[in-house]
Amino acid sequence: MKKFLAKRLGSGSLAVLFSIIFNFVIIRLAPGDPATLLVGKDNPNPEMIAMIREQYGLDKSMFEQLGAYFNQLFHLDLGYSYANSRDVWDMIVERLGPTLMIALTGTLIAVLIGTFIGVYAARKKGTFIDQAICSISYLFDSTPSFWLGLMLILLFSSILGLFPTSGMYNLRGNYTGFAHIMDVIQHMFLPVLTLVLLNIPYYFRIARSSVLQVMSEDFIMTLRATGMSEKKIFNKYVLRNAIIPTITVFGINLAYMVTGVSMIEITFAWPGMGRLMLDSITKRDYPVISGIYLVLSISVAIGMIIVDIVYATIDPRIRIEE
Amino acid sequence: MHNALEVNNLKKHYIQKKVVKKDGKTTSKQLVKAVDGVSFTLKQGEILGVIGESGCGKSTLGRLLISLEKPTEGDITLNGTDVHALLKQDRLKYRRMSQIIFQNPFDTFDPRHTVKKIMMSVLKLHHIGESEEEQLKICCDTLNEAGLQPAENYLDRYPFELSGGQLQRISILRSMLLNPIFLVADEPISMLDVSIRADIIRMLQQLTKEHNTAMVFISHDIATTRYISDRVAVMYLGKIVEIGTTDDILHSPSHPYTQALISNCASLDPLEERDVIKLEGEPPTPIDTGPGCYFAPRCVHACERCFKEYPDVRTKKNGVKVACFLVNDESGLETEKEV
Repeated sequence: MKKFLAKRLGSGSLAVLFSIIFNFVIIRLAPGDPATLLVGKDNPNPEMIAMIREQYGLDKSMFEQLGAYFNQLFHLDLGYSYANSRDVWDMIVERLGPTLMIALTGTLIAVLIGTFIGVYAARKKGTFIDQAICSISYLFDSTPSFWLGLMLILLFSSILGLFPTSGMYNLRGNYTGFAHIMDVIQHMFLPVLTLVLLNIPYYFRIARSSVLQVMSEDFIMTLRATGMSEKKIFNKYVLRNAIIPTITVFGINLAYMVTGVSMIEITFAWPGMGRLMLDSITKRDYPVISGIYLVLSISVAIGMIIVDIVYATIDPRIRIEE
Repeated sequence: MHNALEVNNLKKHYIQKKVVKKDGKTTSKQLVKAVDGVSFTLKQGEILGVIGESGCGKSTLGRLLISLEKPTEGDITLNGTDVHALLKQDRLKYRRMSQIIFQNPFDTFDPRHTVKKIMMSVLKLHHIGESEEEQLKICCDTLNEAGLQPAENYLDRYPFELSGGQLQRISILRSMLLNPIFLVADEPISMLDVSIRADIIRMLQQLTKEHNTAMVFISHDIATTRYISDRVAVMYLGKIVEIGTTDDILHSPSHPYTQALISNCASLDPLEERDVIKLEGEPPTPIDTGPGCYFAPRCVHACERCFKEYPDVRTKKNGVKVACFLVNDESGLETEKEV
């Protein structure tokens, strides 16, 4: 186990290292220059551009810049945003919380509901209910997130007036304590609902197909032949085997969660990481982009290690080599 | 004394929805006659080999015999009692009476359970053995007796850590733990290495003899079937075309299909001169079989009558039952209308 952990940590750090270099290089290869963007289009002053370049070290070669960046990281410093004149780390921490709030809540609810419906549909395979659920799931599966978000705003905010259209809390409210929490939950509702509706089909299909697959396995027939009741076979054998793909997919999805909600964040003006990332890309704010990718790649690496460990404990075929 | 198993006019028809026919038209429903009127009896401790080509309904018959599927028609009597009634009355008791061994030992067990868990779950389900220690002892003893020694080495292993032969042995042992009076072996050796097939066959023979268990041995391997079976039934398109003692069927086959089947069986002697009967025509499908003998389109002896009506079952002097008009015409044997 220790050896496995060390091995995975090693390969994980290597992956993080490569992703830092890759992201660092690729964003600089993209057309566009932060200095010109900072100065503005109307009256570009060449001297000022050169000054900014020198100040941020953009005039040096890419190799030197990379070296400087690693030196910075070594001192646990993610750098300084060009566009916002703030510490990158502070900006990320500020945005990470709100993103995780809607991403985690939405994904968890979607996993639970999706899996539940999937198992139900698998049991009713071929019936009208099954076909109806499948059709609805395809409908939501092919819906763009921003469109669904807008439709929900139209319905719940404009027509019914139940929930606020955007933001994370009421700026004029000045609520504190419990009232503040309720206010945030009210603001969270629509983005989370959008995420849930879009993710349910995903988990629904995995649950449905893996339940059906396990039910068609030979060993289920064997259990029937030994005289076990259908209920026990289903609860004890089918479900436990069918849940493995859901866990895998959930683990992989954790990695994409932050980027996946960015469209929703923009639709609902939610102050999250996804929005920060897109803003920074348009402004060519290199330190912020690199910082975000660093945090993301570390979380992906950790997520994968956790999935591996969970996987090995539920499926003996994937044993961790001693 | 009752027969271990009596099967009377057993049928299983599947309804296939939306089938595209050869001419491009679609029909909304089609009947697939997987098993179409099978009847036979099995004495206690007797072994019946069922042979036939792929898709002739052997495996469906096997699943029907132990009630893993509901027959469309016909009834099965186990030890003098109707199976349907037995199932309704006490499912577990019925399952203790009839068991099955599947073809693929790698898929027979839950991949996440150890051998111990697999065997113990059967004992627990059927309340065999009073305490957990006793149940564990039963498991160990069974494994040891079957040559899986030392048993402790096997108990904590997972199915994927064992070979096909070991798994099939465990599959057989687990079925025999319940001491059934009737066992279906659905191609139990076709997935195994040739080198261990004999061992598995010997084990099956020995165990069924010890427990006086009747067995239906489904196979497409004629040589193995001959080795293990007391009687042999030849199936073609869901029907038994010929049934009788192993020697009678294999040495003097009466039905043209059996003759073709056996003539194609490989011999160990390369110098032996034999006339191999080649079957012409398309492989059969159990759909739209028509009124005549199912085998008629491929049969070399087929006459006009064969296409018009299905031959009744005739019993030869040696007890072999054949469904073919020729048997009567050539040898002038007595005819028997009922099955």
